[in-house]
Amino acid sequence: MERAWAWAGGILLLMSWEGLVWWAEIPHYTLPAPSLILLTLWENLASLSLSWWFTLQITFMGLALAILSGVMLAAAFALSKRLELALFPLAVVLQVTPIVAIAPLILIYVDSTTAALLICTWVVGFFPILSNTAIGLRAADRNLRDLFTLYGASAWQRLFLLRVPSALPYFLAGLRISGGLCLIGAVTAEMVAGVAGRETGLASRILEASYRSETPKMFAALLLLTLTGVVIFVMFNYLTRRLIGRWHALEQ
Amino acid sequence: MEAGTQLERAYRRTAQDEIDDFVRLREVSLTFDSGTRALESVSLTLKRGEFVSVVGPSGCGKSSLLRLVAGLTPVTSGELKSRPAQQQDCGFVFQDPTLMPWASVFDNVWLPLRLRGTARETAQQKILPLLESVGLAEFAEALPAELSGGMRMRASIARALSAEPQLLLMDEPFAALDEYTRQRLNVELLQWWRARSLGVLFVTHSVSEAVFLSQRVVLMSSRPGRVLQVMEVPFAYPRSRELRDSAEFIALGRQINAALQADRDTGEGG
Ligand SMILES: Nc1ncnc2c1ncn2[C@@H]1O[C@H](COP(=O)(O)OP(=O)(O)OP(=O)(O)O)[C@@H](O)[C@H]1O
Ligand SMILES: [Mg+2]
Repeated sequence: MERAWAWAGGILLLMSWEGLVWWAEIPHYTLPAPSLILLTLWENLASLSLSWWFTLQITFMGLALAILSGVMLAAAFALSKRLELALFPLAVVLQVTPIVAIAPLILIYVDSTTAALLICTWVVGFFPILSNTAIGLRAADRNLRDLFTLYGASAWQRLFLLRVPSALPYFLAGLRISGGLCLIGAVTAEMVAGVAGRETGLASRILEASYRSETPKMFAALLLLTLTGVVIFVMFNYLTRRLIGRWHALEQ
Repeated sequence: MEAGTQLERAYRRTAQDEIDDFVRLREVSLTFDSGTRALESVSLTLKRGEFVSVVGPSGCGKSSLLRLVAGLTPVTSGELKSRPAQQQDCGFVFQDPTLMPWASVFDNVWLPLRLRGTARETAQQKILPLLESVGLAEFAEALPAELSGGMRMRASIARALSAEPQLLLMDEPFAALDEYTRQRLNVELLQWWRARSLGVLFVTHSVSEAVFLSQRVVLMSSRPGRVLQVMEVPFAYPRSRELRDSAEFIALGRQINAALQADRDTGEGG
């Protein structure tokens, strides 16, 4: 029922958009109609899907790096409060500096554009995973912790039977934020890098099209990006429900 | 009756243990780092197999007392001897069920044995009959979120019993349940207690629950917690629900309430 309303809203918006463009005779380089966007997407599918694949790879490789480093650092924080005190502020600094501002620097320092894009993506996706997992690893119920003490649990038992499962919902919440952020990071970095280079992603297609005033193609690339973002969101939501939906009340 | 012989055995063992104390607190005080004086000069003994309740106003240090006996908090001064805590042989039932939400009922009940290195298959022989006895046999694979409040509490009690502890510490285990479920679990708890020979230290807000369950009731003053009085409860086991309606039961409850009220009045006066 709720889903039906969302569909109805979307379809109504598209129909009024299409109608407006026809009725007001808006030129396609100003605002293309949805039907024209779909047509352009279809005509440029070969080149666009290659670019799409490139952006997708950067996004997910950056996310993988963010997960790996975020979880490992969070585990280190959980083991050593001093390490957390020393390094957490650095992570915050990295997080609050806008990625558009750092990206040119990274592009200067790193030779390979692909590596630079990966680093930018990682910077954006890393913090939510780190901070959420770090909090989660400390979030075990106090009475449960006492129970583990009472039965003389070892440090490893405590980690794997108590702290890791307690941290799982927090980690997944971080993952859902990072998933979306990594796509934004990848696109932003590409925008800064410009159209140069052979291997380029959707952002380059958008820039390219904008130089040539091919507005419908810009919209087509944008549509692919938006769809990708939605798919990432839905995917991680599904993963969350599968993993903890049965026991975690917040997720229901 | 089989229960009868077990009870005799329990009493024989109790008599034996009178010589070497099971749990003994002598003039124990507890002050937290924050400066809160939670307990002051508390003396108390518990013999093996004994069922003792502690009642007192909120914040008087009942939970703290249980944590001391379990060895989770060190005493500030005084002498505490708790053989079960030394031998890591206490079961603890908290006010809320405190189950691991990601683990099935079986896995939750298995936890104490698992932490001591008992494999799942070996544990099964103990845990399945235990789940049967608390009425959760069909729910072994259910998650805590899929149980009712009363069922969760039973799972929590089953977990505390699974490692067959010498001492069961219970912190207002039934406080969050409705009166009907509570009274039924009271009767069941007494059956579980009588079928084993374990000591129980039971904290509650409810005077009638304390009288119904225990052999002795310890009355505590408002903060800092001191022992006001220890009441012997003369009723023979097995106790049934009808006991609650008897004149003696009501009179004893009234006496305890009066003593607690008198303490409250002097506290407010001074
Ligand atoms: N970890 C702690 N640090 C500081 N003060 C504490 C701590 N735990 C308990 N206290 C204080 O000690 C006093 C006794 O607390 P406790 O939880 O033992 O009371 P209680 O009798 O169990 O109360 P209730 O019946 O409400 O559960 C309270 O004043 C409480 O604020
Ligand atoms: Mg308490």
